[in-house]
Amino acid sequence: MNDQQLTTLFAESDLSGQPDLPPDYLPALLSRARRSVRQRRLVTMLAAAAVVLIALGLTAVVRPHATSLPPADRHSGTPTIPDRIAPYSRLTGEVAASPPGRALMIYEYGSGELFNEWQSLALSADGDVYRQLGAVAERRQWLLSPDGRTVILAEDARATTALTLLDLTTGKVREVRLPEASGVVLLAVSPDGRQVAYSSAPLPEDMSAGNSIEFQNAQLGTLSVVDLTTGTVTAVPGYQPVVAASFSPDGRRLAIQAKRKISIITLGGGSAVPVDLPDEWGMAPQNAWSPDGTRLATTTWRTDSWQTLDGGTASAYVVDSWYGYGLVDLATGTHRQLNASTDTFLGWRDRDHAIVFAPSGLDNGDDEIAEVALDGGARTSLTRFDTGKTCELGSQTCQTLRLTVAAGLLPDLTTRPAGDPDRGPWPTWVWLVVGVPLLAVALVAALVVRRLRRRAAR
Amino acid sequence: MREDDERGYAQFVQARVPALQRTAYHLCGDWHEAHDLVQAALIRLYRHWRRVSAADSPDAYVRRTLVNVFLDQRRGWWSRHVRPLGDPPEPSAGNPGPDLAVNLTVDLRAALARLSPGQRAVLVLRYWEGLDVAETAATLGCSPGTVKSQTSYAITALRRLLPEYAKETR
Repeated sequence: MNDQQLTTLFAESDLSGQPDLPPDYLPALLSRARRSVRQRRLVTMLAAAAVVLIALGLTAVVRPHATSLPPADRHSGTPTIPDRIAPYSRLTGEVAASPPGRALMIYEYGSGELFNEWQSLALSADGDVYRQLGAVAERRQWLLSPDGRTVILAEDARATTALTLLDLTTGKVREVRLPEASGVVLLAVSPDGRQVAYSSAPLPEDMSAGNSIEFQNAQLGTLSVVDLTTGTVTAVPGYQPVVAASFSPDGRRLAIQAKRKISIITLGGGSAVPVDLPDEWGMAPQNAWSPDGTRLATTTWRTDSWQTLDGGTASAYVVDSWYGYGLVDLATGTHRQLNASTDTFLGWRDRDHAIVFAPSGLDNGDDEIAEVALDGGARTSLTRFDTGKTCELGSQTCQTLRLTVAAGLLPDLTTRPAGDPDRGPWPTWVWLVVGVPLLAVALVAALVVRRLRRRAAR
Repeated sequence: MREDDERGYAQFVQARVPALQRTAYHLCGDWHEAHDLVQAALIRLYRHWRRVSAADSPDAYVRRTLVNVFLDQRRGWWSRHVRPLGDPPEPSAGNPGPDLAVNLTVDLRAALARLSPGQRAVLVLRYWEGLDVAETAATLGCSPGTVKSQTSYAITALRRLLPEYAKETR
């Protein structure tokens, strides 16, 4: 079978069944062809619009600063707090991806009934901006600088070799080395944010027990003050175990609690002034000193004692703030218990008003931050937490833990109606879990559309 | 499309449709499907008419488009899983009989249906359209070597599928 034979074979093939063209063949063809051109134009325009929209969306999500104010410009006004705290959301972005600017507070929010769903969050002092602190805060204790710009972090379950500083205005992290690796408990940060007081103790031999670093320091912790700008660490000897501290408004003095005894010392040397408190009472953690320097906030402490293996007795001193708070007047030494309810002292509004956190205790999530007048006890609610069941796939009400406020922002704080929460770009895991399948669906949809168009063109 | 462009397109269509349908028929073996293939190719031609008519041969473009539409359609899931026509008859084992030409025509269509779409396209372009190897390669978007090898495979298959014709013309 050669080329000529094949040509002949095709030439002699029977084509007698070829149908005649219908009379309207050409008009119908032209009509279809014109429609095809129009459809193609439409599809092209829609595709271009989709590309533009996706590009804009990605820009807004991945680089939110391109479409909103940069963090540095968010803090020009008076610090505010929304009258409702936004519900739990897995889509809240991280500080590193989109810094929230100065924070009014940082807190742990979530639930752990069935699954561990806890987020470490920062709420901006200048809008409804919520961000997760991210991996840098995992298994770490924290303080928030009085201006709300920096989160100071130390290890919670292993030795700390350096304090970690998370800048909420830039999302950047830096470290301040400590002289030696030890179990560290963060106690207080100075009003200018430059100094941090902490206690340190050798790491416990058995780290399996919960809160072991905190417990070890409650028995053995010694006081040090670190200058975050220079990295200089100054040990403050003579007090052990140091369990609480608070800087004076001018940052020159430090109120410290060793066991149940409170002393006021001058940084850099000088005699210590004791402050007497009734039994069961000690300093409120972190922000005890009032802005005018005349009062210290107090709360109840308990002493846990136990027999050691060598037959001796050991004691640890821990906050038991479930039973309210009080204040001591530094000039007169007078102590007053102010509230017997479950309020937790957070900081000072002014000399005569405290900011407190009041967990509802009813498992309905209606936790509250309130301002309380120290004379008369008049109470003004500043904000409430979400009451809906937004945790653990809608089965649980979220709980608030480790709430820490920027003490320096409290005097000017005002409440405003809550707006739509700005949660920033989606966390990376959401992109992986949701974005990749969405892209796959989009790809399949594009292939189906392509096939349908081809079929329609025939 | 401008009016004079569309007029030129209409004239081309009117002149070429019957021949295009015959080529499509050789490719697919069915006049209805041939009609659809030609229409799809002409609609694509309409979209690119200005460029094609100005710079290229419309015949070559529409031929290439026709073959591509045919091959795309044969690559699709539906075509690979659904056969609209019954299997072609087995080649006759005995004498071809008195009406050899008619039998050979039927057998050619049956034999072509048993070839792969690519081999069928090679044979139709080379021995029906009369293209040389280079032109066939350009139309199919493959190398001349591929055209040669596919032609060789197709002819070998045809010899097996049309033993009587091969014997008759030996």
